[in-house]
Amino acid sequence: MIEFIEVGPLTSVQDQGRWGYQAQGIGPSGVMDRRLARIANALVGAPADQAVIEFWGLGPSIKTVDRPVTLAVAGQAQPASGHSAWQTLRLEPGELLRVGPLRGHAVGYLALADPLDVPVWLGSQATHIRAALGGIEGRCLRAGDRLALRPRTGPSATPRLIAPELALPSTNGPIRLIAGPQDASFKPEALAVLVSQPYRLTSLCDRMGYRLEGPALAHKVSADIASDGIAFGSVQVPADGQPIILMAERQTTGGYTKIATVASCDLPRLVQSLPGQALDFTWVSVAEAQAALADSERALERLCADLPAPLDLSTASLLRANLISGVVRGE
Amino acid sequence: MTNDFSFSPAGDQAALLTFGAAGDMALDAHANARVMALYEVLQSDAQTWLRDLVPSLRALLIFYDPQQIGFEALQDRVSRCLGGLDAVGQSDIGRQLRLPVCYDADFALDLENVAAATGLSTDQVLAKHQASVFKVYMLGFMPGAPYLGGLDEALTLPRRASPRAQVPAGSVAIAGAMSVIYPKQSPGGWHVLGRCPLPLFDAKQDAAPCLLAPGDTIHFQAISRADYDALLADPRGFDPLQGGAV
Repeated sequence: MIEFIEVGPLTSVQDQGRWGYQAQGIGPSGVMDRRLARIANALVGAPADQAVIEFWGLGPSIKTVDRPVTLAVAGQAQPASGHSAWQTLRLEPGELLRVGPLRGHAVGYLALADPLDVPVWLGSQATHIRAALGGIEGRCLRAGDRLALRPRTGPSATPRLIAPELALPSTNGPIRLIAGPQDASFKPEALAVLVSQPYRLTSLCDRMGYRLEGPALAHKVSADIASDGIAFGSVQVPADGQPIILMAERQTTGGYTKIATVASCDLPRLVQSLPGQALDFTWVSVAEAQAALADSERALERLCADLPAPLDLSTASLLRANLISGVVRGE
Repeated sequence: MTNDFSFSPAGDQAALLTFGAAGDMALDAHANARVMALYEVLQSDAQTWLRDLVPSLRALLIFYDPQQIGFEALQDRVSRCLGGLDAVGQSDIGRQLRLPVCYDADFALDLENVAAATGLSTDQVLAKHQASVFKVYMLGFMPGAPYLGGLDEALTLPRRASPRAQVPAGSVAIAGAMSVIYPKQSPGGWHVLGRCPLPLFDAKQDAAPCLLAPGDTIHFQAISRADYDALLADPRGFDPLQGGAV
C-alpha cells in the first residue's frame, strides 16, 4: 500500500483508456502521453498497459505503508528525498519519496511494479475527471489517499534506467497534422496560415484540450457542424478562429469544425509542451503519419526492451571508451 | 445513393464518414438511419482492426488500428458495406422503448414560453410532444445523454436566449428539431417540458450503464406526479421495453 502525503492539482490514475463506449457518450480518457507512460512501466518491468499515476507540473510525495514497493518516476524531476527519476526505485516501508516539480515539460508518470488495486470499470482503471468516472471515485488523487497494490504475476523487476533525453520527445521539427475531417469548411488560406504562422500554447491547457493562440483561421461560412465524433488530437476551431486541440479527456462529440488532427507520433511532443511555447505545424498525408507512427512504435518497443540496468550502463560506457581508444591505437 | 457521403481522415487512427455536406446542419432522418445501419453492421462484424465507433447525427467516426488496415482499405470496406445497406430496410434497427415523463407544472419549466412562442396552447404542446415518435440519433454531451430526432415540426424553436445555469437531472427538453433528456444536473439552454424519473446513466450498472442506445425508438408516456415520485424511489417499477407499470 502507498499513501499520498502531498499531491499536485491534477494527479490521477490512468491507463490506456476505456475503449468501446463512445457510442454511449463515455469517452476513453486515459494517459496523455502514451510514450512516457509506457517507458515508466518498462522501468518497473510492468506490462505496457498497466495503470500509472499521471501528474501535472508537481509530482506527488508518497510513503510506503507496509511492504517495500518497487516504482519509478518518469519525468524531469529532482526528488527532494534524494531518489532519482528515470530509474527503478525500491522504497522500504515508511520511506518517503518526494517527486517535486517537473522541469521543462508538462506531464510525468509514477509507475508501480505491483498493479494498483483500483476498480476496473468498463474494462479500464482510467479516471475521467470531468465526468467523475473511473479511477478512484472518478476524482483526482488527494493527500491522505491510500492505494493498495495487488501482487504482481510476473517475475520481480530487474533495476533499469533510461537517459532522460531518450525518454522525452525531442523538440525538433514541426508537429505533423493530417487535414480533415472538416478542412473543406475553411478558406484555403486558413490551411496555409496554420502551417506558416506562429501559434502559441495558452495557459488554458488540461487533460481535455490545449488552447492555442495565433492568427485566426477563417471559416468559409460557419464554424458550426452537426455534432460528430472527436479523435485525440483533433484541432477544433470555433467561430473566433483560435484552435483548440482536443486531448485524452475530450467529449465524445462536438459541434465545431475540425480543420486537422495531430499525427499520433507527435502527440507526446504536443502533450509535453508548456504554456507560452511556440508550436510549428506541417501537413502530412494519412499514409505518412501512419508510417511514422509504426516507426515510432517500433523504436519505443526496442527502447523499452533494452533498458540498461544501472550497472550495465557504466560497463557499456567503459567498454565503448575502451573500444574507441583501441581503434585510435590501431591507427 | 452511395455517392452522397464523404470519407475523411480524423487523424491516423480514425476516419469520419459523413452523409451530406459538412456544413449541413439540417436533421435528416434518412442520413441518421444510414449512420445507425452502418454502425450496427460494423459493430456486429467486430473486426479486430475496429477500436471504437461514434455514431452521430449524420456521421460515423470509426477508430481503427492502422497496423491492421490502411485508410484506403477501410474506405473500400465501408463503401462496400454502404452499398449493401441501400438494399435493406433500416426501420427495424434499435429497440422500441417507452419512457415515463411527468409533465407536472413543477417540472415543465418552459411550457408557457414554448406555448407562447409556437402559438399553441400548453395542452397542445404536451400532446404534440407525447405524440412524437423519437429516435435516438446519438448519445453525447455527457455519458448516456440522448439526442432524440422526430420532434413534431410545430414545436421547432431556437434554444433559450440565455441558458439555465442548472437544469435538473431527468429534465426532458426541446430545441431545434430535437428533444433531449439530461442524465444529470447540468447547465443547458433547451426548453424544459417535463421530467423522466428513470436514471439514464448509472455507473454502478457495470454491464449496461446507459439506459438508451443509438438507434432506439422512444415513445414518451405521460405519468402522474405520484407515479413519478414512486419511480424515482424505485425505477424498477417501469420496464421501458413493455411500458407502463410492471
